[in-house]
Amino acid sequence: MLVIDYVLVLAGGVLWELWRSEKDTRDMQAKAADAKYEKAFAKLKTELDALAAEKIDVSDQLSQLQEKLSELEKSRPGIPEKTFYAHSGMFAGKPCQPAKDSRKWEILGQIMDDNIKLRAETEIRATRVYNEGETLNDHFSHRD
Amino acid sequence: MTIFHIGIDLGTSRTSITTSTGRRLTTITCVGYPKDVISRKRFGKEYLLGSEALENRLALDMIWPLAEGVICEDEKASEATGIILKHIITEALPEKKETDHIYAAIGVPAQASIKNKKAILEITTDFIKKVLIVSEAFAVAYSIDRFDECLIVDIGAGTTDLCRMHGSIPEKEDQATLKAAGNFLDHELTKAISEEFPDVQLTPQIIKRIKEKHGYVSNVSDPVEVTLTSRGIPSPYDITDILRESCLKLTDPICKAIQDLVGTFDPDFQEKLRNNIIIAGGGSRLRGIDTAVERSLQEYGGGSAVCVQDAEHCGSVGALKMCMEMPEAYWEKI
Repeated sequence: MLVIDYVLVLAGGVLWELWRSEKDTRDMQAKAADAKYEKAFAKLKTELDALAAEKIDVSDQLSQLQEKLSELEKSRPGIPEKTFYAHSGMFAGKPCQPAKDSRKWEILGQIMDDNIKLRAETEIRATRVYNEGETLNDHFSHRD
Repeated sequence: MTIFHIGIDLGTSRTSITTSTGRRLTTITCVGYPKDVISRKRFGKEYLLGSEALENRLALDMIWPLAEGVICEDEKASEATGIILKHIITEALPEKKETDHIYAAIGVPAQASIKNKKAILEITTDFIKKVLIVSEAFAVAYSIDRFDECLIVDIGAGTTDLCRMHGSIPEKEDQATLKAAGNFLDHELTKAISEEFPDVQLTPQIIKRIKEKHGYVSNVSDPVEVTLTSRGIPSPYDITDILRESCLKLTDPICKAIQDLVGTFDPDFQEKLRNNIIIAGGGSRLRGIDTAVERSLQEYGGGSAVCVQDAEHCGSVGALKMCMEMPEAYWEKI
């Protein structure tokens, strides 16, 4: 009986230690985050105070920033970050460079001709549908 | 006003985008609409996309708009394709302002019908200023600058596209589109595992995971042992032989199509074509597929096949490259 009591007390002690160490870690992380935010806010306040001292009105810039942020929020409904896998690509910062090789010009010209033909067929179909009195999606008229 | 150039590979399983600003993204080509009021309230959205939709599929009506390799012929599929394209573009070009324009090249299966190409033009009208529709296999060739005699084999989920390059735009007879692709392999693998182990529980996601991790067509392989459940009880199952046989059902028709394209080519250039086979798309990740293709060409005098380095973005990179190299005067035509 004494042994069981001893084991129970020991187990209780171990559990208490585990809980306390986890709590300490959480507290430390929270404190670190708070410190980080406080530092950022202090920096922002200093900058705003400096602007105020120079009598510069920043309310317009702030409201523009707010508008931009809300637009950004609206433009991406329902897209969690994990849906996409982003990488930096080989084209980063490269300007558009038309092909120099004449063979490529020929190939690109053919691609463009095929697409013009495809577009022409699409427009013919739209006109025909319109003539028959069906609903015409007027997107062809505002395209380019 | 800024003009952004983008290349898109609109795939049955995944859609990839590469932008002139250097971003590359991939999303799963699916949209999930809440099934009922409860699920709508739970998600608080009209629809979910990509992996988020897949993770919550039990509460959603899933739409795979390109299930057959091309846009399915119904309004929902068109709408879903539009949603996916619009969102992947928004995500890839966060800096785009309303006054900016997008010039895009979109890769579609080599033998997609005119109707399908038109559907893409219609869907993208509102958010892309100028669009080029190009063959996926050709986009792959463009990405690696291979216009001389070579054979591109792009193994996607819905279709496998083959394209014979000979220094100019490929003609109709230079291209072939097969239904034997990733989804076909999934079907065959599900059938084979169910026949061998009738009680195991399988879902398309489980099959996809097995295929992507273990798929192979080489003559030798480490034993493939996977954990599957039977009435909820997990157990290990050896599927080494089943997996190989199923994968061979995919590669056999592809090898046959390669033989046909080689056999009907100008005899003076057949050898060059045989020795320049480039395998792209998700299917190029099957272990040993390059040697399987080479083996199938032994009686034709042998051949050499290689798999592209970046199977996921090769098509969209080629499409973007095409956009960026297109002279402005050409763009003005459309």
